[in-house]
Amino acid sequence: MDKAMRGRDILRRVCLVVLSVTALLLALETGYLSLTPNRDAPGHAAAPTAPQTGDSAAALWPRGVLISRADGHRRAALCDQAETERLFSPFAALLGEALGTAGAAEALSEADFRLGLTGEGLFVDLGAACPLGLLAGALGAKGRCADTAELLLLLPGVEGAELRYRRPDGSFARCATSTSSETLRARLNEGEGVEAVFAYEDPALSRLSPYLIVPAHRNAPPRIEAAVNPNPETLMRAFGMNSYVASGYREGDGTRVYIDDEKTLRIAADGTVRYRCDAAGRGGSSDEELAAYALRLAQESVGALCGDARLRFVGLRREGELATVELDYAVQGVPVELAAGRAVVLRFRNGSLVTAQLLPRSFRASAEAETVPPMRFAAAIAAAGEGGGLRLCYLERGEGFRCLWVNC
Amino acid sequence: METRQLERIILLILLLVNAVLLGLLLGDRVTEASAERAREEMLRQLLADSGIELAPDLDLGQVSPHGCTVVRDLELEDQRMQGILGEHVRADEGGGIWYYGSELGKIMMHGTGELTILPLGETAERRGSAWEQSLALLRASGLEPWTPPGQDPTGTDLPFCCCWNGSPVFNAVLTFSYAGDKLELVTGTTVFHRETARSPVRGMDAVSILTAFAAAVKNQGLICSRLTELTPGYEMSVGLSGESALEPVWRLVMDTGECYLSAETGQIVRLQV
Repeated sequence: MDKAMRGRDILRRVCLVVLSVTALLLALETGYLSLTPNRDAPGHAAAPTAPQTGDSAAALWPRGVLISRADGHRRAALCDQAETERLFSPFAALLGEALGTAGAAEALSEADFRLGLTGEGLFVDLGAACPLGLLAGALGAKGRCADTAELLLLLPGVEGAELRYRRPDGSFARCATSTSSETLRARLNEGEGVEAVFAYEDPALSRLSPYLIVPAHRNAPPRIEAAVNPNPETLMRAFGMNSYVASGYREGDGTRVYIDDEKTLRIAADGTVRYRCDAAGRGGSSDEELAAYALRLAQESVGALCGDARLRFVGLRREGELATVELDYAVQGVPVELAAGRAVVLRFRNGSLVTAQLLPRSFRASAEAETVPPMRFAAAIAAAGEGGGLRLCYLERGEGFRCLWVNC
Repeated sequence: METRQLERIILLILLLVNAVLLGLLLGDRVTEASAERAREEMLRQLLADSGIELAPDLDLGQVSPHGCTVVRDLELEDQRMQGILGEHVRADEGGGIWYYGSELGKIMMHGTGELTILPLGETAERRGSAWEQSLALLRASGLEPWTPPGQDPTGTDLPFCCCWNGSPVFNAVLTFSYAGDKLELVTGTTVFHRETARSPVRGMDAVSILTAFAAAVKNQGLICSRLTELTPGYEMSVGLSGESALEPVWRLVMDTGECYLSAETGQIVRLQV
C-alpha cells in the first residue's frame, strides 16, 4: 500500500515538473513571457548597416565632386554632405586603391589636366591641401603616394586608371595606378545627379577659380545654432590626462586650469581651450603620421562634443622643426568659420605635440533652411567683381551664424 | 497528507494554465494562418488587377535577411587562398591589393572585393565538368555559391553569386571562364569575411515586397504579365577599401526580365557594379 502511494507521489511530482516546464515553454511561445526584447519589432532602434566612414575619412571627405560620363552627362555636388556622400561613396575604395598603387609622379601641363576634364572621369575638390598618403589611409588603403594635392582627377586609362592632381603650389602631376579602368568606367556611367560646369568652361565665370564646380542646383543648407561646450572630462581623456589625479584650480578671470605632470589644460571663461605639454609627447614623423594623429586627437576631443557638425581637415603647415595641423567644423558639408579662429590648431615640435588650441562648440542643425542665393547668381556677381574663389560657409556674426557665399 | 493535497491543487492549476496557453497558442496560429492567407489572396488580387500573374510555386513565406556590415580579414582571406592554392606566398601590392601565388595559380584580391584567379598547373586541369570544377573551387575557397534556378550549367563562362549566411549577394559574382574544359580565368567580385555590425530589423517580407512591386508597376510603368521567381538576398556596396555594406534586396524575375527591390524601402534599385 505504502509502495503504491509512494509511486503515485513520485508520478504526481514528475507531472508537476513536466507541466511547469510546458507552461513555461507555452508562455514563452505565446510571447506572454519574453526573456529577450523582440528585435524584429517595429520601432526597435536599427544599427547602421552602411559602411561607417572612419573618423579620418569623414574629416577628409571632399568639398566637391564632379563625375563625368562618357556621353558628356555630369553629376556634381559642392558643400553638400548628403549629395557628396551619395556620389563619392561608390568611388571611395577605388580612389583609395588608386592612391595606394600610384606609381612615380610625372609632371603634367595644365592644358593636359584640363583635357582630362573633358572626358569621362572623377574630379574631386578636397577643399584643402591634403597629403595623399593620409587620404589613402582614410579611404582604407595603405598610401604609397607621398605628394600633397588639392584637386584630384581619376580617369580610365588604357590599362589601369590614371591619377592626375594639382599640388598646392599650382603645379600638376600624373601617375599610373593599378585600379581597374573597367570598374571605374562602369561606376562613372551609372547613376543620376545634378548637372554642373567648371567655372573656366563658362565665359561669364572666367574670372573665378577655374576648377570651381558650379552645380545647376544645390539643396539649401539648414540654419544652425551653436553652444560653447568645453567638457573637461572629455578633453582630459583625449589628451591622456588623468582627471582623478590632475590638480585643478580657477584663475581670477574664470579660467579653469588642470595640471597632470607636464600636461596643462586651460579652459577660459569664453570656452577657448589651451593645452600645453612640456615633455616629448605623441605625434609622428611624416606628414601622414602627424595628420593622422591630429585627426584622431581632434575627433576624440572637440569631435566628440560637436553635435551635428563634423570636423574637416584644413591643412598641415611645416616651418622648420614646427608643424601645425588645423581643422574646422562643417555642418552638412558647409564649412563653419568661427569668429575666434580655427576649431582646432595643434602644434608639433619635432613630431611631438606641444600645444593645442581648441574651440569646442556643440552645433544643432534646425529643420529650417537658410536663405542663400543660387550659386550661379553668386558666381556671376563674384565674376563681375574681383573674380577669384567662391565658397559657401557659415560665418559667426554677433550672436549667431549666417550662411553666405564668400568671394575670396 | 496536506502536502499531497497542495500538490494536487497545483497540478490542477498547472493543467488549466497549460490548457489556456495551448488554446491561446493554437488560436494565434489559426488567426495568423488565416490572416496570412487573406494577405496572400489580396496580394494575388492586387497583382491580378495590374495584369500580373504569380507563379503557383512562388514561396510567399520567405523573409528578408538582416542588413549587415562586412569587413576584410586578411587572416581569413589567407585561409581561403590556402584552400585554392595550397602552400603559397603573399605580398602587399599597396592600395589594398594583395597578391597570393603558388605553383597552382595566382590570385589578386582587391580592397574593393574584386578578385582575379589565374589558375596554373593542376588547378587548371580537368576534374569533372566545368560546372563541377567551378563548384569545387568555390567550396575549396570557403565560398558558398548560388546560381539562379535554371541556369545553363554548360558554356564557357559560368557566373556564380557568392552567398553571405546562405543568402545570395546578387552583385558579388565570380565568372569562371573555360577554354574547352580547362579553367583559364576567374574574375569578379567576392564578399568580405567578417561581420562587424548587423541591423536588428529584417527588411520587408515577400508579401510586402510584392505589394511594393505592384506599386512600382503602376507608378513606374514596368511591363510584365507573370512573376516567376522571388529570391531574398543582398546588394553589396563597398564604402571604404575592405569594408562593405550588405543591404537586403529582393530579386524578382518576370516574363520580361528581372529587377531588384530594396527590402528596406521597397523601391526598385540598380545594383552597384
